[in-house]
Amino acid sequence: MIPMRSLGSDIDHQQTSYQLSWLFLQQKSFIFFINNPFLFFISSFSPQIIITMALLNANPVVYQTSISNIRVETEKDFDDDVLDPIDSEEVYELLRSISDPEHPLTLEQLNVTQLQHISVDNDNNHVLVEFTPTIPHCSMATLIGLCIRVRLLRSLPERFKVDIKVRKGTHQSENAVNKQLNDKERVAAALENKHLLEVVNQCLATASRDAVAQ
Amino acid sequence: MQRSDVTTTPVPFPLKVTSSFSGSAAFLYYWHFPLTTNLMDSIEREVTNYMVSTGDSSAEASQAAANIVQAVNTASVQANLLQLIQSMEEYLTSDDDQIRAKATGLLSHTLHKCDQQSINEAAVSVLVDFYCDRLTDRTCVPNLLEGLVALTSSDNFTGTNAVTTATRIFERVEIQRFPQATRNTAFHIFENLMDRHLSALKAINNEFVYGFTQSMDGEKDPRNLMAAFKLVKLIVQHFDIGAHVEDLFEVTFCYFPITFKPPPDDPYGITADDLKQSLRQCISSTGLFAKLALPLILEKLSSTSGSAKKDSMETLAACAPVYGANVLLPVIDEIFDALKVEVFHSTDQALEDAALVGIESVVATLSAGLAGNSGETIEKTLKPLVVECIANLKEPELKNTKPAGRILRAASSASYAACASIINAVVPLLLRQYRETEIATRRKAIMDVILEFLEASKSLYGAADGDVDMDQTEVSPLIEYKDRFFGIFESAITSSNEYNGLRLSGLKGLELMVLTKNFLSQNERGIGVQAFNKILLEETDEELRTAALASLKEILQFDTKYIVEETVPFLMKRLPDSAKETQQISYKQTLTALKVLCPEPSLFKAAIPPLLQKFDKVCATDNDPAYPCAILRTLLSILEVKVMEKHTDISPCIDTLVPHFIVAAINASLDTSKKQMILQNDVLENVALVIMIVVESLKSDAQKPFVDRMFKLYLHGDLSQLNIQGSGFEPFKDEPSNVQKATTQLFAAVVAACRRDINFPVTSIEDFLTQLVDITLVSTDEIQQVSLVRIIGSLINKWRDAAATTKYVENLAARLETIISQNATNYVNALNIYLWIARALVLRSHQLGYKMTDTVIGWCANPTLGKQASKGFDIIIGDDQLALNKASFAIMAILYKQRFFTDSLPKLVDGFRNSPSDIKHNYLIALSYLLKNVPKQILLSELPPLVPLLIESLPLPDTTLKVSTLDTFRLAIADAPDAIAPHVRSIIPALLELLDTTNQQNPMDVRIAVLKCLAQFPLGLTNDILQPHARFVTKQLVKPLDDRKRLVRKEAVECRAKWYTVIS
Repeated sequence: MIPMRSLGSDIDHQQTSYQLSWLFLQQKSFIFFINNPFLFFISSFSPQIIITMALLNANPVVYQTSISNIRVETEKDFDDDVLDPIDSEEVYELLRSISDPEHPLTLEQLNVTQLQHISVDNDNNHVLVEFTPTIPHCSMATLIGLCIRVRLLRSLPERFKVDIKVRKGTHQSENAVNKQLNDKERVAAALENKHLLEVVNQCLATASRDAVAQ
Repeated sequence: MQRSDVTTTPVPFPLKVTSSFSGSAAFLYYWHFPLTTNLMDSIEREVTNYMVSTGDSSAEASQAAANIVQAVNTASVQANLLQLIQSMEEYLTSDDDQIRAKATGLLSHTLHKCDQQSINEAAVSVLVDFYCDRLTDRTCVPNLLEGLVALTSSDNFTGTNAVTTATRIFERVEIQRFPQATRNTAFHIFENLMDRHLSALKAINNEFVYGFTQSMDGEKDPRNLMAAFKLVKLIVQHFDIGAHVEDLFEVTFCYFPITFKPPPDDPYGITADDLKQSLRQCISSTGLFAKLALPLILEKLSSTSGSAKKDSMETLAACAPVYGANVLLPVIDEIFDALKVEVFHSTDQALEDAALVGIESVVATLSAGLAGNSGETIEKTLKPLVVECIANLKEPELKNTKPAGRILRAASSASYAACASIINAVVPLLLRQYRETEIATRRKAIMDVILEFLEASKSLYGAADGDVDMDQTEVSPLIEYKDRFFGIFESAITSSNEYNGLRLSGLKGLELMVLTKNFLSQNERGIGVQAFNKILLEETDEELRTAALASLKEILQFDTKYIVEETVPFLMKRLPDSAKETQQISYKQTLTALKVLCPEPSLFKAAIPPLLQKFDKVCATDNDPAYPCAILRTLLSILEVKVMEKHTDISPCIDTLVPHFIVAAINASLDTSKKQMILQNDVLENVALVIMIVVESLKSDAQKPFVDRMFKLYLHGDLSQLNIQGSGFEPFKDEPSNVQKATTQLFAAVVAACRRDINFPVTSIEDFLTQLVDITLVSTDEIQQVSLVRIIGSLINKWRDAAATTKYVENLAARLETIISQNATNYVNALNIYLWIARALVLRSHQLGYKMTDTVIGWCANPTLGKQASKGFDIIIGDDQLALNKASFAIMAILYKQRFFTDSLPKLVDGFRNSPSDIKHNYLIALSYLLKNVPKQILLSELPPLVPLLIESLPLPDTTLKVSTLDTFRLAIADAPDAIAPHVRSIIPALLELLDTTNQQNPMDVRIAVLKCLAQFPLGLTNDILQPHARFVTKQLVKPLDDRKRLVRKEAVECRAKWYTVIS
């Protein structure tokens, strides 16, 4: 097992490497691949190690999820002529059951995603999701953000522009993470990586309804 | 002549069998039956055949062996066996090892297969001696042991033989040097010996025990180990192992802990768990093992392997009571340390549970062992454990309160002494802590520990509805704290709405107190029930309501007093008189509560009259059928539960519930001044279902008088039968504005629910049927029409006179066919009757039913009739709640659906292939209805050729049909993916086509069904089939992500997520 300390310099490293990554962005070279923070820790460690490393926050606060905020189906929901606009609750439903990469817990249980931090603007086709990392130095923030990004890419209509942000003041490298998550190319590049995609898919595996029912 | 031969020539057994020569004289003496030359020749011939064949399992060899067995079993088995041995003389004495072994094998095989019981004692003895003597012949040993298995199973095998066999095997055979099969045979012999000749073997006690340990020493095969462990347990039970404790212990304990992983295809069907359990039974079989085993088990408790640790804990739990307190006491601290670590630092629920079971078992053993001394010792022994738990409970961090609570519960469940000592040490502390904190989560954590104690006390001192023979004199030490607990739980329940967890724990606490025997007084139980009532009456939160209901249901099992007196009346009062009255607690929630509680007989009795009153009132004031229907469905579900639980108080409802509804309906139909709620279709249908369930519960002799009254009422308008004031009840009168027609549904319910042996009060069934048919043909009221055809169908289905049935139906069918084919104005009515008669007959697999179905299939080609005819398949083979089902005593041939399916499927497929395109779809409709109603198993086996047809049927406009076809596809993808795989290329575009929201024919339930169906593909089919389509499908699924309906979008998200797993 690799002790957590070995990751201590990780964050600074991300900062510098991030700037480097701009330089190489156009070239899409191998160096970019290494310097992309998503890929950085994935390519250097196998997924198993990620899990052990993640014991950074070994004992997170678990919030009790309440069944009460699951939408109650009304007769209108079954009337084909009534239009149901996409709202923040629906987006929240998409995200609440995603697993955290480090714990066998959902983003809802960890309070990473919260209903009130999601806004949907149907007229301007805009969705904003803000999430709260469990701890300010959480090295998984980018990965969690990526999971949210991929889930929404797959689940929301293409007309929406989706912004995913770390909630202000909840993460020490907030800006870097935000830029990372809202850069189309970097997200695309990240998903080219088989390892990373596997991790993302694992986190999303619990997002569907079947998993919730269990 | 042969006989003399036999008597003069002793069988020359090979290999120094001198000792058996004297035996063989006796052997031969008993075998003096004449043999027919024929049989003899045949045996001799077959022996030669066998010996020249290759191996002993080739086709020729098996054939020869089978022939020999057959020949031996003809006439005298004993004489034939002798003949066989004689024939084999040359082979049995051969110098060639292989030949000797093969011949022995044949003899053993024959002994197995022949009728062993007809070989007498003396002959068996000779054979046993013969076999045992030859055990030194190594090559033959496997075959010899086979023969001994056969001999030891014989009834004529004596104790003396048993001793000889055992001694000789131990002496002459080193079992572990033989292959697995042979070793297994040896264990089989020992098993036979111990099963049948235990007392004889006890004469050679030490020799046997020692011999056995030698023979299992080093065994590695799981099958053999299973057998060996079983034998060890038997030996420990029945033999004096004093002299060989260590030997026996060593050969068994060396396997602990078992690490066994069955080979991938699991050919033996033995799991690691099987082995563990049987080994555990050996280790825990005697206290003599204690000193040897305990240190080793303790050592394994700290093993790093989870499975070994779990095994050790379970073994410890099993051994503790056998080994006793005196052995455990010196190492008790070590034991507790090892076990509590597992609970406090639990990584795996299974390990934690095993540790808790271990703690309970150990504490129980200690208590039993120390009971003679004093309670102090147990207190002293438990002290370190309790102290550590207390320390954890005191910590402001809540992390370890739960495991500490679980440990304390396990320990205090073990014995009265332990329970009292732990509770006195811990509970006052908990109460103080509870008082000192205001934080809800902390209070809940403390309360949960109290709940653990209540659980322990309940399991130790008995549940309120538990066995009466439990010790009555012991009183739970918790009783002292009863009032404090009451205070805590009640305040928790009434606490602020913010934190459900606290309130749920409060409810659980009250429930446990009520359920513990001799804990609360009658009065106090009432207070407990009131708390639950309060939740039901005032809380909207489903979680709390469900918990309160579950608690009340538990309490119902032994005390109904307060629930009858308070809960039910309060709930009734909460039901509004009209759905328009808005209330904090919706009528649906209150009805759910009644539904859960009221199947209990005493509550049923109390709840029904007010519920009926409420129904009448609602019918009078409401104009939306939803609320009255909800009441009826509650009633129905209560009755259904009662039927399932075989309650006897359903039948009396025939004099209360049933007349009440019928009277209400008839009164309503007589009053034409306004629109009547009870006569609305939905309401009336639910009333009919309630009536049916009651009538079905009656025996024939109780049904008969009621049926008679109903006939008088409906056929003669005799209202006095139900004491109804008024006149002019003529439900069958053909008048367009006659609202009485609707009440026919209730008459139909009664007739359809009759048992088969009821004689209806009519002069002749034929005339009655004709009368009904005539009314149906002219009836314009839809409810009346379906009700009448249900009666006609039931009567024909249950008509006992087969000849009369055929004759009548033939005539009637002809008459109806004329009306239908002439397209008369009332042809739809006629067709309806026709279909129901067909259904009634198909149900009992009557030939005529099939003939009528053929006619219906013919009509499918008719441009005007076709549509209705094809839909008729839903009537013929579908299920109906209101008539002709199993509950209503319909005659149903076994597998009638299968038979119908195989009969009509080819005809429909034919019709489809050979008809012009404008009527093709009629056949598809019929086909889809057929598929919808057929059991899954048949459907899947018949599906492959139908898949292209079903794909073609997808664009048909009928939406229910579409949904049903889509469901069929979904089922097929899950259970018969091979049928679908070849058509993936054509199915996927056809399905995606149905997602078009602009098309009116694709309503949301179709779209949802399509998406569910598409989502099934990645689950049922392999990626290599789907990969080529995955990108296309995910791209197409973008559109439904923006569907106007949220429920559709939800399925689209689900479906698309599944298809993404195919891409990556």
